[in-house]
Amino acid sequence: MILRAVEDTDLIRKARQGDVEAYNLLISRWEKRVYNYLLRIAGDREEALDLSQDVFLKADQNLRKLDDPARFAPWLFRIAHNEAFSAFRRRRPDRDGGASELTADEAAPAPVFPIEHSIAVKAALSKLPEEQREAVILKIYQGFKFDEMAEILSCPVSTVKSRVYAALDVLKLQLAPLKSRGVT
Amino acid sequence: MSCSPFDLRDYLFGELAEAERRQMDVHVRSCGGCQEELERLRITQSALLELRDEEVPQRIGFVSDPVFEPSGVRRFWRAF
Repeated sequence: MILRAVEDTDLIRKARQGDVEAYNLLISRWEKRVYNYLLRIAGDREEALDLSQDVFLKADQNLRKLDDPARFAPWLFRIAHNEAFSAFRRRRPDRDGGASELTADEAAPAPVFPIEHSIAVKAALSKLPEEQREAVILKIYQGFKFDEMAEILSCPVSTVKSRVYAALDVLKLQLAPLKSRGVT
Repeated sequence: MSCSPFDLRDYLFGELAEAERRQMDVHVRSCGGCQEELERLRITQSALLELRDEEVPQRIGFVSDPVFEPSGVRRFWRAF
């Protein structure tokens, strides 16, 4: 992981000097992570692909503005976050921020009959408010630290943590009983 | 959960400083309630991770590609 970070830093340095191949390699290293982040928040493959393309274009245009190349990942995902939500606002002005706020007590327990976990997980994620869902995606699937998430989402660490924790309270009720009953 | 010296979720996510983590290691070993809560959190995390990443359906355009520019749909929407 450290080696990867060092190599990314080297690629960024070269890309900033106009080395196109270095930037192309950077894209190929990060495209899957960015695409899957966008896919999970957009819920549409074509839209995620379009957005990914635009994210890497914008990143290329702004690479010289990246203050600390070691912070490339949160910087790139901040671009992805901004691109996605700008697009959502333009394309879906009626987008209401996702599901209404659910408290842990209100969350319906997961059904106990054998259904595929992935379906149960998708359903549980889809019930979360948009901000909580994105926080879970960045934390669980992308593995960012809270301070990196705060950078990506432009909000305090305390806000990021409360979003992740509130989501976990709901998800735990829905997913932990399901798994502990041995449904596979 | 309130008996825990630090937040179990921070512990799960590796967000604690080394000294705090060691303190939590000791606490969790001796606290049945926290062990149970931690197990539920781990089950939740592992259930979520069953949703695997997908492969990118087509490669993202490279800088050297002649078509490395905003998508047609994006250009259309930006016109408004």
